[in-house]
Amino acid sequence: MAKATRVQADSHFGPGESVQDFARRFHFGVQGITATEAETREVIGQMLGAGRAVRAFDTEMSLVPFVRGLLPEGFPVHVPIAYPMGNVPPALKAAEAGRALDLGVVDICISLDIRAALSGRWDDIAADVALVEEAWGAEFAGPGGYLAHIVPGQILDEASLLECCEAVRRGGGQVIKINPGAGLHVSPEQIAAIFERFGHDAFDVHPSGGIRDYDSAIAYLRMGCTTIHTRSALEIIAEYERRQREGIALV
Amino acid sequence: MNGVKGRASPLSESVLAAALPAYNMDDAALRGLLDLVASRGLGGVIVHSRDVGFAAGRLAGSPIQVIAAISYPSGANSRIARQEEMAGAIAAGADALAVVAPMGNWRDGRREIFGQILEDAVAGAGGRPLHLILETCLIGDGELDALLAAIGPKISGLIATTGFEGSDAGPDIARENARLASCDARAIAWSDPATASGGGKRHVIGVAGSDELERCLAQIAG
Repeated sequence: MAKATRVQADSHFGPGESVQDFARRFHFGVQGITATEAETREVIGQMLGAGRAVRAFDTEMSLVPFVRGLLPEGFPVHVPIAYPMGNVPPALKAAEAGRALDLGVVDICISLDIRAALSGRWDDIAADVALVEEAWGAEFAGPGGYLAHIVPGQILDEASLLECCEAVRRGGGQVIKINPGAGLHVSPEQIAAIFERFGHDAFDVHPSGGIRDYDSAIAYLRMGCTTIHTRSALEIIAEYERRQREGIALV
Repeated sequence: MNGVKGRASPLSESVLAAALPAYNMDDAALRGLLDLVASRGLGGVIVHSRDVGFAAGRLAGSPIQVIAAISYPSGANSRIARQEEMAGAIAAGADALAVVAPMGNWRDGRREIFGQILEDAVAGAGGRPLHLILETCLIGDGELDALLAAIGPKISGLIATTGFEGSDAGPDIARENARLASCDARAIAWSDPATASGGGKRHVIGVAGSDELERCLAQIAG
């Protein structure tokens, strides 16, 4: 499946990037068992109050209409599917991806089947990815669109991590989120292994989980990642802005 | 069921093994767990909806219930997705469902959404046993009675936590079991694999493999 890569040279981080462009490198939001409308309203208020538009606001499918009512017109929304374990049948993942599109959500992540990954069933992983990519990949490839496949990097050894990424590639996936968060954290070693094996053009790489400070975020961006998922996004963006304002070397 | 004859006992039959660990169960571990569930004659096994067909095939011919976890762990996917997941699980051979309650809706006071999801669950179970998984640690003492009243009598069993690894909920399992049991006779104790604490009429044991299940069964028996 020959597709143009989603990674463009100008999407990589570099010195002098504006604060707003920097902010668009981050996903930020409220998800999970504890997510409520009240908490979501509070967090959106914090984000809008900070005056910086992140790449997308992360929420749950059931909260998309509510979130849309709080965000400015056209503000991107991101939802996870089968999160965080990929524990539903592949056809249901594809169907839910279609429903995200129906809601106007063009930025999603889908958890790979954790048990298949732990068991080394790479053909199954590739088939799962292909199912959703063939059904909806073109729909998510437009402006602002992202169809990310969540690779559970922390629980795989390096060889399995690379096999898993290769399976995503075989299935037609071009965007990978490395770890879901929710207890699984990315590491520089995982990202370095992926770039060493696949180069910087095969995947748009989104690290996730455990990224809590400015230095960590910058390190991943300098490695060639384009987008970061972290609940600390507002603090990291504020630190970038402070350094730029005070003339402190950014990288 | 692999030619393994069950050795059921009243204690064993009271136990449901929850094969729902987030990040540490591969195919071999699930097979081993299912075989032990069969050999010990447990009451049932709760599995991800994706695994229902596999579990049903492995346990075919046994009286052990295959219980599908639905909307696990967040309880926050779309209504249609939840309905499809239930229908798919039943079609794949689920004998019962364990549906994660939408605690966010309850905490927001969105009782109409909470009620709709319960009605969907009852309909989805189609008369089969239906368990509800509640994160009771997310609601106050005063609200627990109100929540149980809203749930009504159509739910077979109530489980005090998802037991999800990585959840922010972090429930004190023994305390939440006690709270639920004090309010409702249908409460099923979630037994901590580390301590096998529980005390309810039935136990749910969240385990990642057969060794862990053996230890818990021994602790419960002891």
